[in-house]
Amino acid sequence: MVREPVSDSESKSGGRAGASSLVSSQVEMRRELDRRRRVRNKVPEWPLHVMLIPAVAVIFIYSYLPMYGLRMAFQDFRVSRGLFGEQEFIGLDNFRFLFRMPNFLRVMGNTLWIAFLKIAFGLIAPLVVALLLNELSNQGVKRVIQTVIYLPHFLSWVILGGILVTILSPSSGIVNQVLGWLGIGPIFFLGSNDWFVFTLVSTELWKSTGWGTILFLAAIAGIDPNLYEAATIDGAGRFKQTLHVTIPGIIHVIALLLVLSLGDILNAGFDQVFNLYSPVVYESGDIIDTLVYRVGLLNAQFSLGAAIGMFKSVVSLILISSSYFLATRYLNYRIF
Amino acid sequence: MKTLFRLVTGFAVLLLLAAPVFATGADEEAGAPARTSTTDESPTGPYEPPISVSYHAFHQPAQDFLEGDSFEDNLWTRAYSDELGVELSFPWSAQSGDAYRQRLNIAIATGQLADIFSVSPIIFGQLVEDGRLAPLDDAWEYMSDDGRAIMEWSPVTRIAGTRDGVLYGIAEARGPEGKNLWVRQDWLDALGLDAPQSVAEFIEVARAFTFDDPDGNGQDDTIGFGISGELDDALQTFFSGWGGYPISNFWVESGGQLEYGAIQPGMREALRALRAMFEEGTVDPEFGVKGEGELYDDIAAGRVGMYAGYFWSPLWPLNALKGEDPESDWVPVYFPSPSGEPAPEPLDLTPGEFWVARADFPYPEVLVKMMNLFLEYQDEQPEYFNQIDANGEVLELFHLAPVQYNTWRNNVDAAAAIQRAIPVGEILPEHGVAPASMFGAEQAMLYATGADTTATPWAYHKVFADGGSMNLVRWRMDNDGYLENAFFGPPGDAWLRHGQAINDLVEEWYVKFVTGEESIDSDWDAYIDAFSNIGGAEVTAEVNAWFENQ
Repeated sequence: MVREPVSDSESKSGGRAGASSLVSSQVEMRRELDRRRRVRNKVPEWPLHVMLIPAVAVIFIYSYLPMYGLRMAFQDFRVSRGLFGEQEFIGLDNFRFLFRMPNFLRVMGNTLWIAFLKIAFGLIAPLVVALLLNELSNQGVKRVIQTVIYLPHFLSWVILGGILVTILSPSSGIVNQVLGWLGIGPIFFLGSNDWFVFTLVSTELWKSTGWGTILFLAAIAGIDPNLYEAATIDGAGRFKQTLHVTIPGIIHVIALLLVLSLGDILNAGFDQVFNLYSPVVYESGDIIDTLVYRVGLLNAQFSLGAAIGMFKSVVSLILISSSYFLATRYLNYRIF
Repeated sequence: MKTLFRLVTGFAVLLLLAAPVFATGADEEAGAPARTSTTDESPTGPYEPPISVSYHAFHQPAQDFLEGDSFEDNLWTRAYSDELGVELSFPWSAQSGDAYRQRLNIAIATGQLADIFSVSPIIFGQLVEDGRLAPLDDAWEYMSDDGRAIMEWSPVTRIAGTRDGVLYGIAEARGPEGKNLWVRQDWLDALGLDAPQSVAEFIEVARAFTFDDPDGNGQDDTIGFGISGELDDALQTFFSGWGGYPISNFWVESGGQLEYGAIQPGMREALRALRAMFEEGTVDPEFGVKGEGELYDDIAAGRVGMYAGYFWSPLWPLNALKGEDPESDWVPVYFPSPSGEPAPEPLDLTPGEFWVARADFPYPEVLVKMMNLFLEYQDEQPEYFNQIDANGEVLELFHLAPVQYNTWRNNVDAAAAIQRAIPVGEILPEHGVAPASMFGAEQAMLYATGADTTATPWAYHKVFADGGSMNLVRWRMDNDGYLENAFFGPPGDAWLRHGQAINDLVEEWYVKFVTGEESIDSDWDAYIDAFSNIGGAEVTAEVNAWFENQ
């Protein structure tokens, strides 16, 4: 995976800042280095491929082999006939049943809406926090803040579910007590369809923002300090530097995360929703995965489960491919 | 890259070709082995030479053992080995119902079934249809008289375990769980009230428990009537007082047709009653997001004055509160109904699990023999059931018996025997306490004589002694106090497809009606329509087709 940290658009923005010669000479230097590396790569590549084998094997075993099970989606699968036994093929009946379920539209809408909010805020919040952290000059303070905001990432939703039910309780929870002092009436965060999605997204942000900043901070650290120097000479302040150096410098990471997260548009977060929801908020919080869990668990509906899984995978594949295509086209981003 | 791709595809194709090999490699395809051991016809006659039997194990997460024992080698496995000539082994074990079902499904799908195992009704039906289970009619001939009596008490287990006139599965006899109302006796005493016997008194007590500071701590922190958003099973009796039955796959007969319990007009009236209590604040305003676990936390913390419990509730969670607050005391009463009679307790006796044997297992009767041994020990060997260790902790050893066959009648009989013994002050042979119930009897006696009034003796006393919860169970048996599910066939295809959606719907609307998010007056028809549309109409047709053939 060879990244080109400095793309054409950046050299243009650098040029506008008036340091074109410095930036373009640097670009040329990079290209020269790349060319030399390619020459050096006449050295055989096979050891690298050998090193890939464990990773390929794992993906093959856990991601490709199970695709054999996709045929269950088109069968009336009965365990008693065996995994490889004679099952009755029923074509698209499982999909038809799925799409005609009276709850399907509601669940689909909830899933898309919750996942969209999580993806949008899940990208913006860590980016903003990373940019702010980057501006801290005191390394000690920066590290302490980083560590503290990562921590929630390591808590499981099973544990957080119990904690949140307690602290968000309208009658005895600490959150509502504080809101009470501010004169805001008790809010039923987990029991009101108006608030449930907000609660899901905000707790998810609280849990994952710190973790999300790691990638951005690493990308920011990879930006050539010379660019900041040049920008300073050109009279750019902190804000302009962020706008014209930092953000263009990490745009490829942002694009990567966006491309990857679009594949999650039908994953609204089973663990979290399952541990926080209740029948009262099915209307706003029931998602595809929780519905599958309830339907599949009760009645051993393996085929229906397989059909839903396949439907989700197809949608993810389409979204990932098209967003990758767009990223290649407009941001000059490529994985290979 | 290209080579790699070719390699991967090649490998994939190879594996797909190999798939049938995995399938036929399973142990079940080998053809039925012949019997090489013999046994006599007595209920617990041994096998000569001993046979080895595998089973799929369900283990308690915190199983107690005698010193030196393990799941592989314990007093029960030694008993089976010594008495029956049966060497038990298990290829895998699970510690939760979900884990057991998942592993069993894998074992079924890959043909790695053990000789004997237990299975849920849905998979049971599939296994029978696909010829994977052994008929048990011949095996049944080995059943002891005690065992036969159990099936006679509960004919529905034979109906459910039989397909086309052949018995394939033996189920334990389910009985009433004593779903009644539990009331804080110490709070009643503190406020000078009596246990409620009518709906008006019930509402009155709920008010007093909520607003009159029954725990005397000066704070407004009590809940009159504790319910959860999960539509607790025990709450069924509350609803049935009005003629509503929000119970999974529960049907009532009306005008020659079966109708779903949760959409009965009585359901609407019961919801109105709960709605009124919610508006007053005598049920927990947050009940909608609480599960049964959270409700039990509230009960154990001493915040709840009344709730829908079971006959065993003193053993959990009421004992937890008793341990914290020795002054706490509870009394079980019938849920009142608008008619003034105790609300009937809904009963669904269709089995949840069957014991079965693999089709090619040559000794299916070993299941029956193991059940016989369990029943025999129940009468003769109490040390196989419960023991007390050096620290005074109860060791529950009966879970180690892999195959159990039992009846809820034992508890009713035990209560009668204990009530004969308590006035005497000691347990004598003529009181007829069965050995398996001896532990509970001794505990109840400790409390009755005042020798030990801590949580455990108190709890057993509350279940078995006069005024305890088993008396309510017994009264219902003698006075026609139960209402059985009018549908007791195997779950049909429509139910398998739509059952979960229907259960979800009932639970969701229950909370919405009570909290007022949907109006019981104007949105009731929408609820009925939603039930029909979500699959209720289809399930109703299916169930009535079954009903016409009865």
